[in-house]
Amino acid sequence: MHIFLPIALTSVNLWLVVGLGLLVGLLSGLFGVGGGFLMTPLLMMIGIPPTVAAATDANQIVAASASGTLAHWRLGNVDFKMGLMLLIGGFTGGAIGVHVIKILRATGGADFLIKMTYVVMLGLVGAFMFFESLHALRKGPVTPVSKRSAESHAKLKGTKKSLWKSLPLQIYFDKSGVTHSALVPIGLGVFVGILAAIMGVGGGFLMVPVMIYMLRMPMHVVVGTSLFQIMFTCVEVTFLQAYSNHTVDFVLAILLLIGSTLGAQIGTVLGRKLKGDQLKILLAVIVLAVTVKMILGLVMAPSLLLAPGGGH
Amino acid sequence: MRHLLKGLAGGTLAPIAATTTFLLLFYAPGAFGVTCKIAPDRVAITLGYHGAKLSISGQSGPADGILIQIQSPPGQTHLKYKGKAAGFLWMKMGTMRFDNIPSLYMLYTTAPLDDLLKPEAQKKEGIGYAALKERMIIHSTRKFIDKALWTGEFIKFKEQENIYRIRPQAVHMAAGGGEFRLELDWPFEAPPGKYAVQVLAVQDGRVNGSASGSIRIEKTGVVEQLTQLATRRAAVYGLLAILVAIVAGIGVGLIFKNIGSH
Repeated sequence: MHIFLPIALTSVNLWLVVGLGLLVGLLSGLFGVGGGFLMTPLLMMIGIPPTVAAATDANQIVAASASGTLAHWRLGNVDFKMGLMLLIGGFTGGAIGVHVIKILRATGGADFLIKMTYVVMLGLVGAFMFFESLHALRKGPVTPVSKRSAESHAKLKGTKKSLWKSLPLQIYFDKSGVTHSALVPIGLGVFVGILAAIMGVGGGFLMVPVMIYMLRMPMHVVVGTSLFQIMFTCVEVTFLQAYSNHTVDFVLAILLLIGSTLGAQIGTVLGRKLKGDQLKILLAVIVLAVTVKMILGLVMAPSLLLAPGGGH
Repeated sequence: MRHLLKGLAGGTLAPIAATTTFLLLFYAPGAFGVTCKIAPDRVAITLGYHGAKLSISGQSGPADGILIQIQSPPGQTHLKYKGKAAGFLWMKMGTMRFDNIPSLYMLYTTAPLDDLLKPEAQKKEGIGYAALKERMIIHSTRKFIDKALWTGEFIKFKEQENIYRIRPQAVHMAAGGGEFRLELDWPFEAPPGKYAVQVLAVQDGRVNGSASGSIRIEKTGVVEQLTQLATRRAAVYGLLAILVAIVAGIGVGLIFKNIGSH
């Protein structure tokens, strides 16, 4: 069964698109990532123009992340205080990143920077998560998510005071069980926001490791809080893309969100049954697979030397 | 013939009554009584649109073969070209603008093109890829442009998009001329617009008669309404898209909660 997309100007198989939504929604519920780094290339593979793929993906992520945030909020897994601070930083960083890209586009160095940032960040994040989780899995019996979070709290108490602890505006984030200066999540939000804007993605795959490894938040709170933050980022992106570029395809977004909202719910339930390190290693494998595909695309001679504008 | 095509491309059309019914578009006796009938000549893009089946048929005088050429008016296409950065990384390096070239080009014939028309005649009549390549103009941020390479790449790119094609022996014709018929699958990838159809009867390596028509592809119903909303009331469209996404997300969440509580 086919359906014509009014803005993408192409016809797609209805079930294929719903299936893609389901798959990416599943990842969203499991890992707290928007899945933009995966969905946009998949949409381009089925013939959606790059600009429409990126903008519409942001639209469907709003649905998946709203669905996921609700599910995690019911489980008590959303740290709204932390999410808000990351969001403030993320919005600021996003604005800076968009400006950087504008300047680079004018000088002609944008595409190179975008590609290299993508490969380096995906590769680093994927490799780090993979080896860290592998090490944890080998070390001993796997602890369930709930136990692990309690352990990480205890571990944190014993951690010596870092430089961050001497910063002003120290706040206790009770949901995550951590104390940080407000400047830390805001600053990290700015950093992720800049990179996300350069790469044209929501930044979930960067934000999740930042929360785990730098903010030392427990895994289950990371997922819920990341989804909460992604929802707002994608609301902003959807509106700007629809208003300025007319690239949001409503029909495509609806098909994707039918799948992704269901997937996000299934992912959340599944995530409760998996262990924290198993979740991390799974996400790491997906991120590394996308990185390898991108590297192959960069070093192998393309079959076509021309491409439509937009996208990566 | 060029004047006729220009007229068709730039002219305005009367409002459309029916879109999918079989109807006679254009009946133009050519120099040797060539006629052209396109059915349907107007195709509506609805939500279920996945391309269309079209037939082009007619009569010709004595002929060795028939050529049916379908194309959009010549215009500009902006693309990115790929090249090697840092000596080994393939990526988009800059922009390339292709001028004086149709965005869609299809050629259907009764026999291989070179068997019907000599290369010089193809260029003279503006038929086939060689003629397109010759009149194509390329502008680019790239310092040196190898025209043969990039015109070839352009055609490869368009063929991959499924809106450039040459299909020899797709047109069926009675021996020695007379009735001809082409059944064609109109690609859903072709954007809405008006496309000129040109039927040429060929004999002894020369065009000895022609007829013309057009195919109109247009968005209708919900597809058209959504396009209008997205372009003319973009803020409303954007807010609507966000609202639907949030409601759908929360709605599914609540359904799952209810399922989970039972």
